[in-house]
Amino acid sequence: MFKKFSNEEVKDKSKIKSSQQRAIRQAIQDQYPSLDPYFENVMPKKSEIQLAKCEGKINLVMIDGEPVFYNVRDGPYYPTLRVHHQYPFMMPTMRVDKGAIKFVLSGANIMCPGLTHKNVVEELANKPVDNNTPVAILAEGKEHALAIGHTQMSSQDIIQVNKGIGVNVVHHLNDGLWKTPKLD
Amino acid sequence: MPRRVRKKDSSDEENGSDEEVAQVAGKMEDANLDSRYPLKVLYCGACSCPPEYCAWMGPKSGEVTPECKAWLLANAPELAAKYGYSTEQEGVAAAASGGDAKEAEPKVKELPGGKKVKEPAKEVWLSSKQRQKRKFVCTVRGLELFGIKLPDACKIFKKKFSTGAAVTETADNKEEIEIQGDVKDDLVSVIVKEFKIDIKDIFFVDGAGPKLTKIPAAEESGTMAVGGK
Repeated sequence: MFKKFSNEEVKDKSKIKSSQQRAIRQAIQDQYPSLDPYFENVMPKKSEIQLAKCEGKINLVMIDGEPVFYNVRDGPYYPTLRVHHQYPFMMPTMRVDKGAIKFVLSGANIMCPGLTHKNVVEELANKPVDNNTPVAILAEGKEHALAIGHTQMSSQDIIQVNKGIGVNVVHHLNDGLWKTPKLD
Repeated sequence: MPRRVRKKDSSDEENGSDEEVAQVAGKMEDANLDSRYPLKVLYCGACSCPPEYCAWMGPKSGEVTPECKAWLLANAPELAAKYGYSTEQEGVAAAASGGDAKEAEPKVKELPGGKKVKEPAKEVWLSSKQRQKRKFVCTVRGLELFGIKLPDACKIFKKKFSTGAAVTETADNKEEIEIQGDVKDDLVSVIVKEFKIDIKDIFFVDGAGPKLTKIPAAEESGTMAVGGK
């Protein structure tokens, strides 16, 4: 989604109404309940939220010019990887095998065999994830996420079908959004 | 009630945060305290990603670039040790890369810098850049290598595309022609016809520096170039 993304893709950047700010805050809070205790740190109440509307109906939620969350149309909010690195517990994670890293970092979606690789399948089995959920993608033996996506199949299906796209990647390390830590 | 609890949490966190963070920076894995969040994640100064992914950021996947290694060794020796970048290795790598660089750099520099070397590799580079939404400019580089006067070429482009075109100076003190509008594809046929330049010598160029990609125009739009204006 952010494969090519830069300041130029931003169509309109504006401060938004406080009512809308509240709505966005609420939506994100509802979506990531485990983030609750730290919510003040992630999105301080005093700071103003800016919304950047980008190519492809992407909305970037920014605080002090730093993209923090984003969504497409009215879809779920995803955190940027920098935020996820700070609060890795905020959303379910999935692990891919080492061989997949290269492809994920060039923007590929996560294929089922990468998730069911013998080195990582245990984690998949132990941490069931539903279909259509935002997840963070970790790599075998790594502690930080390398991509954010949402599942196309439940973890059970992934194990059973073991074919095709398991997780749709929306944001990955070193993509356009990663390279724009600050928008101006 | 819940609000109060939350407040308490955050205040606790604030109290402990400084020391905790300091500790956390050292050993991120085993601390299980709440106040370790937000995690202070170290990002490589050379490639901007967490150091554990440095290996995938270079041109060759699976190989950590010397820059990343050097940075990590300088800034987080513990982590560097964990990933097995020893100073010795680094020294060797640096020496090797330094040597390489010293040997390779003049070579490389000869290429773009000295026209003598570049002239045998006569190439025309075309690229287009988006300025605002749907507005583009195309740049043509390297025409002068074929003995073409840029102002003349400029005039021809102006007429052919009926748009503005100008000779501009690039950052590296060379001259290139800038044409308004996205005319990249038609450009090929015009250059071939007007200047009698072989299509093999024309490339579409994207990006800059190490990430530069070159696509031979003949492959990209063979039909267009032949069947064009």
